[in-house]
Amino acid sequence: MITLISSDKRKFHVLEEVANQSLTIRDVIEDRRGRRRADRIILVTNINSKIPEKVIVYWLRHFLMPEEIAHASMSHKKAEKLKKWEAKFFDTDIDTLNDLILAADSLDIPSLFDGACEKVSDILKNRSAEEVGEISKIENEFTHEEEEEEIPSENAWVWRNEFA
Amino acid sequence: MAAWSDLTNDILEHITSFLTFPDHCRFGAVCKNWSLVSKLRRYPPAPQLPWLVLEEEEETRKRKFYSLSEAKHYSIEIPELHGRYICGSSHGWLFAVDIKITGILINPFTRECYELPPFPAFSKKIDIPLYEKVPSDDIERIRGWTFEEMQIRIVFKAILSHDPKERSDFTAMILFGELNTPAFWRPGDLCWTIVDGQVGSMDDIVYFEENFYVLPSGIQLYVVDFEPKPKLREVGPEIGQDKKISKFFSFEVFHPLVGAPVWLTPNPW
Repeated sequence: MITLISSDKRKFHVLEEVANQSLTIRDVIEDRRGRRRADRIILVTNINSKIPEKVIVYWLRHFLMPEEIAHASMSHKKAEKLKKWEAKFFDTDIDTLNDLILAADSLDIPSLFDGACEKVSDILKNRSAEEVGEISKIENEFTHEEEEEEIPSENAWVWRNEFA
Repeated sequence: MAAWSDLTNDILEHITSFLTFPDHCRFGAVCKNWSLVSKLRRYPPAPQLPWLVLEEEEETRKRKFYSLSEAKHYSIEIPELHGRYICGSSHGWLFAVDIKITGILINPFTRECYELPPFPAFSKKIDIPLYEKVPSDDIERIRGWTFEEMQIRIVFKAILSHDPKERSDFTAMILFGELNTPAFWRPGDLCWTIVDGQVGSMDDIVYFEENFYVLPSGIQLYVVDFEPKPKLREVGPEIGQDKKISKFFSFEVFHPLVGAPVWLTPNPW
């Protein structure tokens, strides 16, 4: 059993085999092998407790079938079920998605990273820059001239839908 | 705090790898940093269904496309395509013929462009005169054909062996003229080279595993041999007399005046 400690000091106990899905944690455990029990504590200081909870849920769901996922040998029915589960898992607010991506990146969990990035790309799909700006509160920072000149000449066609 | 603002450019780039080409362009217009990320273009856009290439808008001369995946029309300003008829598409490049019956090969998004040499004679009887040299009272006539008709009829189908961006020694193959005769051109060639051995009119052509295959309106498949001399050679499989194949792909709408529909897979960088 290893212990993860989040930035708000909550402790999460996880089976080593489960946490091994994080390549970062696996390497840390490997480095510390044979040492004292205290060394099985890993600080994940850059993320709050909400995220480890989600990450562990994700691990547990995937832990049951890592081999099958790796070798793409899952039965069609199982694959469909997992897909449905993941769709629900990633169906969350954009701040959580954001933190999941950061956690998956720093803990090096490739499938979680891909899944969360793909979900963000789904949110961006078929949305104009203005809509994305509203959803994400990102300021576009383009000066009036840049917006007039640079953007239209290159990309104007993508959001004009003239004869739909 | 704005969402996604603490994602590194590496992560943002990874997100763009899931976006199709139009979504990628919209992504680049969200903010300055995203604009920079969108210009890195390390990942190809996510695959999508090909676009249907349509005619140009009458007033603006912008080229119209229809994206099946998004069920959307796009009009894009591509000056090189003004007044040109699109007779083929391959690897995201378009073959386009103008009213003077001269051809170009162009990637409509990067606007890289090759000028193609003049096409060979339409048939034994009909040579294509220089547009400028036809007397003005006879300007529209080439032995009974108008230049507009000839522009559509000269090339039946055109394909490439490779993406010109990846290999500069690609081969362009066309079926041209009255009998859809196969002819090829490679960058640097000054003219089209006709492939010998044609029997009858050709219906279709495809490039597969280093070979061009040509299908006449009969029952036998041909492959193009380039050495020692460009020539068609019969290849299997035997197709029963009662079964006739006329296309390498399934049913396609073909309109005698407009030609076959041209599908474009955007290949923007």
